[in-house]
Amino acid sequence: MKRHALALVLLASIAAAPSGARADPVLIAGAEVSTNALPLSVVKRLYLGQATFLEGVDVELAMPRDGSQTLDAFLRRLDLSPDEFHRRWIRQILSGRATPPRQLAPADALAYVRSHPRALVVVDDSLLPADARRVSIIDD
Amino acid sequence: MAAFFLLPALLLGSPATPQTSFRLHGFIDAYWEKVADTPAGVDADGRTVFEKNPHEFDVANVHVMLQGSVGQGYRYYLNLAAPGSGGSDIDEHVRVRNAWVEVALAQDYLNLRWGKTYRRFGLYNEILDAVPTFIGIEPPELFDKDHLMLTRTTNLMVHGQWSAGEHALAYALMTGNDERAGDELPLGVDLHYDWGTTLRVGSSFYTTNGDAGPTRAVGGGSPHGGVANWMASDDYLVYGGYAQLQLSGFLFETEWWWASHRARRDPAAVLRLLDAGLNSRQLERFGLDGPNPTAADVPVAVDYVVATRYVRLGYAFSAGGVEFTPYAQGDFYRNRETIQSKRFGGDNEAGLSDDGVFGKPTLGLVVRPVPAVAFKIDGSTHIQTFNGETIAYPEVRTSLSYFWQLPPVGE
Repeated sequence: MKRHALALVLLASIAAAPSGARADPVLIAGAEVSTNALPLSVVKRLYLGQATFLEGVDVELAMPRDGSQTLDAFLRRLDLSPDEFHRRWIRQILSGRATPPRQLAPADALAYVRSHPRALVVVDDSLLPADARRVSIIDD
Repeated sequence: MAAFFLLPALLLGSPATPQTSFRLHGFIDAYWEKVADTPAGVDADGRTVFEKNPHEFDVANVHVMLQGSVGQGYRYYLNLAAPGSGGSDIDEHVRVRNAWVEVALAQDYLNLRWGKTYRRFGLYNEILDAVPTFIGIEPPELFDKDHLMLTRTTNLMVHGQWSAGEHALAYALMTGNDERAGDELPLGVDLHYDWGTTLRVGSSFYTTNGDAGPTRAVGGGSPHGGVANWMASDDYLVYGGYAQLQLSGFLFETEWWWASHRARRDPAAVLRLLDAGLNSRQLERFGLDGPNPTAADVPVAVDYVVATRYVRLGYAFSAGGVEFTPYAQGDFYRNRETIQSKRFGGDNEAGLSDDGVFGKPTLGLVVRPVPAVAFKIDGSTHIQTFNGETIAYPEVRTSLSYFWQLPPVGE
């Protein structure tokens, strides 16, 4: 019995491992956001509220909810820890400088992009449907 | 000025059914402070007399903020505050700290903000309400409410930024009612450079651009701006620079400011300072050191410079999922025109000293179990000359602040 339980734990671990490794954040954009690629520095400025416009469009940002592997991977790409990201945003919010990105469940991300033409949304690559318009992040 | 002509066109061109959203957030900052015995006078033998100070509970800051957007490029912000709400004898009024609308006239390059807004000046004025996020409990002396160098708020701000890669240059031009005496047009300017999130270097400037007047009468408490309560008029400039470096958990901040005043005292108001417990230098400065001083003894014209600077150092690290930031800071402030009595418009710091100067080293710690909660504890020592001797008296304070927010509402 113990051996079976151990095997189940191992199987569960193996099943969970690829999920964690798979977290691969990508950006998808609404109809009014015309760009297909963005420098990392621009993405970072947008997602920290230091800039609000992208090629003439006042973008509406969204991202996965706190604690998701996709969000953590995205913040690692921006060279930020989740705590630092939130602390910087609290400062932005409390000074009225910018509005933080909306946090969405994965299932809601595509609907958000379709209903918000100025949207720029972080999603996991594995959830990206064929018809979504992807925006590449380019290292500076 | 172009903004005024562009605004109607932009408003007319807005979509009929704009997407709107708003967010409600704020924080509560509970506070406790204990100041050691402070110098209160000189006895018959010429020795300094100290008085005891009770420990003090307070709710140093309470804020409720509403932030929203209407369509593309239209934003608004409302910030209601009730500072010092911890007293059980009196309920403080809720005050409007910020209430502004903003329109992006040219993307991030040119924005017009209108209403009541914190002015962009140095590192801290716009973020002083973000208590949970910065090191230190007390604001830099520049914006200590007992001896403000200029008003914290103004009414119109044109601002924007240019960026290229990690480099960004931001500007702000501001004007408003401020402390103007008549139809003067006070002007504030801020210019700063950012290198990613690592470095910020900048300079701010302010001029009353003519005569400004006091915001409070003698006996009405500390002024809301840079004009002392006993002035008839004051034409002043504030200028200086600031820098902030954040690298691998390390934080370094410094600011240097000067306020150059060309003022005229109101002799009748100065005579009322005879009841304010002035020291011998202040009595002489105000012409009140004779046996029976009159208004004719008061030197009316006065030029003086207020100076302040500080350095803050911190290092953030995590242990057991909790972030700790030990910090050290040193403040310097000099104002030879101010007095001790807060009720009469003084500050009980520079005004307490013989020469209008004090220094304040501080050591402290911020503990953040989660980013929205900050427990702070720090201890400072005021160092100043009193009764001809250097006196240091310590104080310790703690603060526990929670940031809260409701989920966004709207499309």
